[in-house]
Amino acid sequence: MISSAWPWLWWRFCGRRALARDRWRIVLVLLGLALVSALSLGFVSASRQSIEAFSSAVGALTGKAQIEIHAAQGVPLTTSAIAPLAKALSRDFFVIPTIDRSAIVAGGDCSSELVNLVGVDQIEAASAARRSEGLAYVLPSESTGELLLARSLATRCNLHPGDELVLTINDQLRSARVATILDDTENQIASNLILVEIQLLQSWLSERGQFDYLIVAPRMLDNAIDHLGTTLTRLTQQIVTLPDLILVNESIRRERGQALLGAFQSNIMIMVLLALMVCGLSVFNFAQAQVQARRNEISTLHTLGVPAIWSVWFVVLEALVLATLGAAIGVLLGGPVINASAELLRSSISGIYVALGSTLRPTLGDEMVVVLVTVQLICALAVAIPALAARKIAPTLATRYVDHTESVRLRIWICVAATSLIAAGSLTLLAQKLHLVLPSHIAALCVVLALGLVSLPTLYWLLRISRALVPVSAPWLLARSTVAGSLHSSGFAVAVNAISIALLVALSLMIASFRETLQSWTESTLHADLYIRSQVPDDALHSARLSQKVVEVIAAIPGVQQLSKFATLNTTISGREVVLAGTDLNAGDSQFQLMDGVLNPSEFVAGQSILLSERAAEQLSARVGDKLKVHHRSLRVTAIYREFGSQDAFAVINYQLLAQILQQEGIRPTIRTLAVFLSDPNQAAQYYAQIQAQFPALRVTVNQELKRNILALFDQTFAITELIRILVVVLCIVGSTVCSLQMLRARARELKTLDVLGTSSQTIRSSIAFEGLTLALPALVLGWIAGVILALLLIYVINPLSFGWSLNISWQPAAFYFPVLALVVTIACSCGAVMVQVGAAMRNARVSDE
Amino acid sequence: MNPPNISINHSSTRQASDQFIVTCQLLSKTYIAGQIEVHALRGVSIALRSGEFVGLTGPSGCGKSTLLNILGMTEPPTAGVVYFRGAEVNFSNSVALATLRRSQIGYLFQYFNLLPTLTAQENVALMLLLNATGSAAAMARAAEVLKELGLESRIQHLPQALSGGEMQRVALARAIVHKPALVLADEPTGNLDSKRGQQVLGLLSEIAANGTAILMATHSSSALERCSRVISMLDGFSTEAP
Repeated sequence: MISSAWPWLWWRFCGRRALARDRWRIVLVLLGLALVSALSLGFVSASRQSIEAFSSAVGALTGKAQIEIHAAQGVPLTTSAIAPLAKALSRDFFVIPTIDRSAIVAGGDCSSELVNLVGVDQIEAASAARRSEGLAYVLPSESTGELLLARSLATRCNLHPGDELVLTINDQLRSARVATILDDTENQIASNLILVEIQLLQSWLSERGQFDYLIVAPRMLDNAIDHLGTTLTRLTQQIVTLPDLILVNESIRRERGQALLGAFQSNIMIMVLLALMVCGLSVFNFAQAQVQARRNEISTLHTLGVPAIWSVWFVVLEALVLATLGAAIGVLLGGPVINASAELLRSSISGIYVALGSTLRPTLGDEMVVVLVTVQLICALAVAIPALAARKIAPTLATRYVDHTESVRLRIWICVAATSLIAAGSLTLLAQKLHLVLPSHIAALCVVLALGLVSLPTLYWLLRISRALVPVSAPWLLARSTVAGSLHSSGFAVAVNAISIALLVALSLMIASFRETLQSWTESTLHADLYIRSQVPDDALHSARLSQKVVEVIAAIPGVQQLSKFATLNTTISGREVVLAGTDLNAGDSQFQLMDGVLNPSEFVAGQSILLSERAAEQLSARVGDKLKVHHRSLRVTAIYREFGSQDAFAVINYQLLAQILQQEGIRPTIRTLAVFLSDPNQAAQYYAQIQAQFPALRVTVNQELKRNILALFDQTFAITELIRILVVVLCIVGSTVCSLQMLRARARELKTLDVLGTSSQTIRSSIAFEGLTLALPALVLGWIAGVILALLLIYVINPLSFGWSLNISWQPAAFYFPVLALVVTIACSCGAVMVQVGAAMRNARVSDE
Repeated sequence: MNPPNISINHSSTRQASDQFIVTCQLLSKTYIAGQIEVHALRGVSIALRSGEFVGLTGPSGCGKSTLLNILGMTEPPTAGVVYFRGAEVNFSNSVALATLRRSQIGYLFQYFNLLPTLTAQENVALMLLLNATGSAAAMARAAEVLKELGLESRIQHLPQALSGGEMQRVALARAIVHKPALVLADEPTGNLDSKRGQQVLGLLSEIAANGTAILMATHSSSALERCSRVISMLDGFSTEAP
């Protein structure tokens, strides 16, 4: 059968000799594939492990059949405060006071390990409460230690019973010994957990008699889950008599954790998808160049009667072999990369996800197979077009010497590009009209597509114009001839570079604009000296309400000039869900950055007008001057303001008006935030310390610190885009260099002819530099233009539709400089590689052979 | 150096017979480049018998290569019919054309078109492997043919290590190893010196004498002297030389 000749021919056509002939290109392609594989493996592994560990930690900390009771008023829980509750519950439930803090531990092999230090009252009683989950917190009677360590922590830090640890808690150093290692065969315990008796922890924290929350667990284990419903009902009845306590069950923590993890996961997946996409483009580029360079050989095979479909399989198999090798190398390198990226993630997010950061312990596992298969699939898909192009190579090419006549159908390229742009514009209008995000995303893709399509015609016309404008010289003639002779390949190189530049420009502009808008917003809206809220979560997104007692206590502190309260009520206006907020304008300066309209204080205080956040205005389709029905009251929309503190739709009225509404509805005002204005702002630090000491369950933040935290949070969130930018540049360099080396091999005979004619190596190197410049200039100009278009789309359309946040565009020069630098480096690397190789290529070429 | 004596392993030596290997009737080929139509062939009709050594001559651009491409089943005609061994060739069936090319036709290109990553032996053995010969037998037969062409010491060399004449002989070996009914040669001596060119022509004559039909496009008058028949072409038309 003829098919038996296939492997024989494949090995000789694509195998050892072919690889040896192109070894440097192959090395570069393998390097790119290995890099992508290692990165993908690292991020995916870290993501999966962190989610599992965090979910486990949440589950372990909150338990399955238990509830936590926190102080809602911001005052610490004390034994006397919960005495009635504990007495009411003690028959059917374990009621365990608990303190939960973070600490840094040094001991064993660990020098600074972040741990969760949990102090529980009567560890053995707590153990009994959780024995349904197979846990046993047992302090050996003969033990001289105080700490019970999670097994994974002990293993990580090589700790054993009797070992001494130094703990840093609230900047204080404490030493203690390991009493025992917690036996947890079912991974119920958080990997960084240390248990200690609450009295000891209270002494370390100087908080005797105080604790953070109660763990409430049913004694009846058989129907523990059923008890949960009953417990909640009973405790709710109990809570009515104790208005200063709130319930937190594990679903709230899990919800909040999932929300945080969702954002984290999205960033990771964007990173991985981008890496895989660029990998696919590089492989496509390589295969395309390979098919072009070996066009004559493929044509000869077709002439000799080799089935055309074999060419397809040659190209695909070559890509798969490279993909397997590259991915295998990347996976082997993945271990160190994973650990390095875990460190990076831990350091970049630990300010937000304390527990999450400490649970990042990625290990290699099934992800290796997933990455291997994914990279191969991407490569196989990426080479589909070049493979099919190889099939189409006509046998007649073999009878002509180096037919470089490419028919370029410019009209088609321009028409499709124009169509894409028109589609982008239409979809943008549609998105704005219908308030849908998806059409705007497709519009962005259409812009990128148009950019890619318009690159070849741009290059073509640039070359034509240059005939008239650029003085003729040998290097320029050679360069122009080379670029024009392989217009499709050159056009593709321009397109790839232009798209990379466009993405870099758009990303940089969007982030710079976002940051500047955010900074401007914080400066204009945050005027209070101190900001206070509870540390306790009320639900996944909000902190617990503050009681009137807390408000009164803080207001009574000497030196506190005014308090601005921000109370909220979830309600509907015109059938849309909004958060109706009440604010006291008299308490301070305007805290709203207005986008439209004017805030008339007297009208507002009189309860006649309403402020809408940008999100609310968009959802309610309301404009300044419109009248809205709010709880049987007709209020005029006086202004629309920017709100970066939440993605909820906020409608703001005067605090007194809200209090009236709440009273009529029989609802108590929910104050979640206090803004404190001091008579002497210079004393903010002292008041911060005083209030924080008095109410440790509250989170008190000084104005400047809050502004810094907001921007730091922003920088942390978008830190990952720095990696994206670097990755785009690195893969651009690899792709361009591979393409250039491929084209060099195809031109070897031409270069040898030039050498024979007496062309100096300096002229040839100059022509290579001119080629680089010819490809760089249109890429830069097109990339800048498209980058600005994409940035405008992101800032004025996608962002407002997605998050309800409009931004002011900030024309940062750095957004344009960095892509120039990236392009210069890319072109320099690819030209440099060609210049290094050109000598060898010319030596090895023969003028008279085929 | 005298051209080596080739003995092609035919089961019986065939004389030039009345059997037509390939026939074309009123072949036309028109290329369209933008607004311009190029009539490469205008109603060309020729027939090749088994064992004939036919020369095809004419000025550059007269349609020689186009005619070779169509008779070699690598390019379809705009009009006209081609018969191979009496059967009409269906140019729309690319799979059948490929089968026909590898089994019945040998190609000798002007620029050799040897695959650079295959040795001389492998380049020749490729044709046998494509015709379902086993690997060992194909390599052995390839070595035998190359030996007959005086290339015994070069069979393991890659094309870039061969001289022009050696490459053309390897290409010739590739063209005949699978005993095709028709060999198409496009300027086979165009890149060779006179001595090596004569050598190749001698080999082609011997191949024709063994029953293979050969159609050779050439400008060389000395090459045409070897042909039993000469077809002249001019502006897409063909005429038989007297």
